[in-house]
Amino acid sequence: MSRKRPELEVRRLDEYRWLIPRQGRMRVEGLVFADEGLMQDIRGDQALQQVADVATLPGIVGRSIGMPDIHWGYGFAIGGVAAFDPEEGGVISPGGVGYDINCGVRLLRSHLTVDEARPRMKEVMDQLFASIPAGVGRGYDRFVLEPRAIRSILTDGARWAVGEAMGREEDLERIESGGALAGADPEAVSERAVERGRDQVGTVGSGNHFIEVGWVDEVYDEPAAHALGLDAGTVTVFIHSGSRGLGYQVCDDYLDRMVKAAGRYGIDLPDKQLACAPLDSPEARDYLGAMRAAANYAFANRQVMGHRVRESFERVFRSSERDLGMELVYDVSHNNAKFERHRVGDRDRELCVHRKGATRAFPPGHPELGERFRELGQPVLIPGDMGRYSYVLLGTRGAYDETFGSTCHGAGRRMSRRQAKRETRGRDLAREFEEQGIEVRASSGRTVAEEVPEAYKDVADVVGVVDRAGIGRKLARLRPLGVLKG
Amino acid sequence: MLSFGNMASASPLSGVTFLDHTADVGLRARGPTPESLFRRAAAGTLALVEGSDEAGGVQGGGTRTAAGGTDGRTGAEQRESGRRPPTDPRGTSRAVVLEADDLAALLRAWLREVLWWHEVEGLALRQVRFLALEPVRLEAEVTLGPPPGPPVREIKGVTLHGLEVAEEAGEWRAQVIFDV
Repeated sequence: MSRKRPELEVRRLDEYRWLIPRQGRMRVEGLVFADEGLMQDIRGDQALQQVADVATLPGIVGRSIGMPDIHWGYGFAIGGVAAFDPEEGGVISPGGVGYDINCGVRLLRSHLTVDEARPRMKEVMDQLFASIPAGVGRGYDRFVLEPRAIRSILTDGARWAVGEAMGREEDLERIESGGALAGADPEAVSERAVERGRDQVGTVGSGNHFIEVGWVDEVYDEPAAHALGLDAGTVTVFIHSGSRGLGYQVCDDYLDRMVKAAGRYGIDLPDKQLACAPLDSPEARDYLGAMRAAANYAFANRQVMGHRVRESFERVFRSSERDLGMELVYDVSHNNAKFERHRVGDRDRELCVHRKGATRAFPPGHPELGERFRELGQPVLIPGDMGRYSYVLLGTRGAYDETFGSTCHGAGRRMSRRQAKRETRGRDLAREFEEQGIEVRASSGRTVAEEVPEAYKDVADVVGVVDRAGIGRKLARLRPLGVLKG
Repeated sequence: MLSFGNMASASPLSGVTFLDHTADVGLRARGPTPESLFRRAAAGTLALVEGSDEAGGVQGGGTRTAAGGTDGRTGAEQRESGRRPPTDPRGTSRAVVLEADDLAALLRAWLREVLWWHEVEGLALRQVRFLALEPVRLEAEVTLGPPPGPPVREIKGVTLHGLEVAEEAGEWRAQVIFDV
C-alpha cells in the first residue's frame, strides 16, 4: 500500500557522526551519532528516513539530529532532536513529543550499600510491587483523585505532590524545570484526558517503564559522583514512567487538530504523524498549554512514585527515609518540547526544541541549572535494559554546541516486541534473572519477554558513542538488583 | 441498514495480520466492505490489547510475580481499579456517532473509541451494527461486555504513521500502527 521512496544518501563524517545531506524537500541536513556497529542496526529500519522527514518541516534550524539509540518511531524517530525558530515559521508537532508526554527518568540514591541491600531484595521488591501499581492501564483503587485535584496537578506538577506531603521541598530543585513547566493550560486538556488521569498518579504503566533498584558499580569521575551521592557501592532506585493515559489522550486529541492545521497553513507533510502548526498559531498555543499540563502530570507521577519508594524502603529497613539517605539525585524528561536559547549561525535565538527519546544535557554554567548543578552540568539519566546496566552522565558544552544541549535517552530497541517474544519462547526468564542476582516482579510475563536484554542495543555502546563524541560525559554505571515491570 | 456480526464469532481475526515494528505494533486488515474492514480492525486491535494476537495466547516466559506464581498475570492485576462499576455480563448497548475528515481518519477515531471502552470503562466490543458508514461519518449500535481477561498490552495511541485505508480490486484494506 505504501509508495516506494528513493534511497537516502548518508555520508560518514568521522568515527561517530553520519551526515544526511540535504536532498528532496529537506530544509536542513540530518546528523546522526553512531559508530559502525550501531549504524548497522539503525540502517535496519526507517529511522534515517524519519530524520530526513523531520528536516522538511517549516522553520527547522541547525540540523535534524539522531542520537546513537535512535530507532524507528512513528513520524519522528525515537532518539530524535529538532529545533524550530518561530521567527522563521517554525512549528510544533505533537508527534515530535510523542504520546507519552514528559516520559522521563528519576534517580534516587541511599546510604545503603549493595552488600546491605542484596540480602533484603526479595522483601524490597515485594514491598514495591505491593505499593506501586504497575501494568497495563493499571491505577490505584483507593487513590483516585477528583478532577479538581487533577487540574491542580496540571498546573503545579511535582509541587502538588510535595504539598500533599509526598516528598521534600528540596526535591523540586533536583527536577528538570523545577518539576513544573510554566505556561500549562489545564483548560486545554480534554475531559477524557482528565478522566484517564484520575487513578494513575503514582503508577508505572507497562511497556518499557519500570522501577529498578540497583547499585553504583563503576565510577568515572569520583569527585562529581560523590557530589551527587553516587559513590561506588551506593544503592540507587531508577524510576522510568511518564504522563500515562492522560498524556496519551492529549497527544491523540491534538493530532487531529494538527492535521487540519497543517492543511490550513499549507504545510506539506511527508508523514501525517508529523502533523504540526506554526508556533504562533492558535493550534500551537493550545497544544503547548495542554502538553505542558501533561508534562506536569508526569512530574507529579514520578514524584508520587518516588515517595512510595521511600516509604517502601522505610518499611523494609525499619528506618526513616532521611536516615536511609533516600535523596533525589535528579529527574529528567526525554519526551518534550521546550523554548530554549541556542546559538545558530551567528546569533542566539529562542527556539522550540523537540526531544523525542532524547534527554536535555545542559553544560556546566548554564543559567537554567540550579546552584547545585551549576558547576557539574546537568545530570543525565540513561536506563539500559533490565539485565545489564544503566548510566549517569553529565551534560557538556559539546552537546550544547552540536545537539541543542541534548543527548541519548536509553539503549534503544533493536528487536520488535513480537520478535522478542517469539525468540524467548520456552526460556525460563525467571531463572535467568535469578542466576544474575536480579529479583524481577512483573504483573505480566509477556512484558518481561518483550523487554529482555537482547531486545535492546547494548547501552554501553550507545553511551560510549555519546561520551567519545562529546555530547555527554560518563559519570557512573549502575547495575540492577531488582526490577519492577508492568 | 447494514448489520455485521458478533465480535466473538468463530474467527474474528479472519482478514487480520499483525505487523512487526521496532518500537510499536501494527496490523493490516482487509474485508469485502468498509464495514467488515472496520469490524476486523477493531477485532485485531482488541486482540493486541488482550494478547490473543499470537497463537497460544499469553506466554510470558515464567517470570516470577509477587504472588509467587510463574508466567503470571497475578498480583497486580488483582488490584483492579475500584472506579469501574460492575459490568452486566449480558453486555450493554449504546449508540455511537463519529465524524472525521476521511475514511482513514474515521477508522482511527473508531479504534480510539474501541480502546477507550476497553481501557477506561473496562468494556470490550462484542457486537457492532453499522447504521451508516460514509467516508466522513460513522453511526453504529454497539454491544459492549466484560473483556475475556485483563489487558496484556497498553496501546498509547492509534498513530497516523502509515495509516491507510484503500480499496483495491474490490477489496478494502487498512494498515494501522499503534504506539505501545
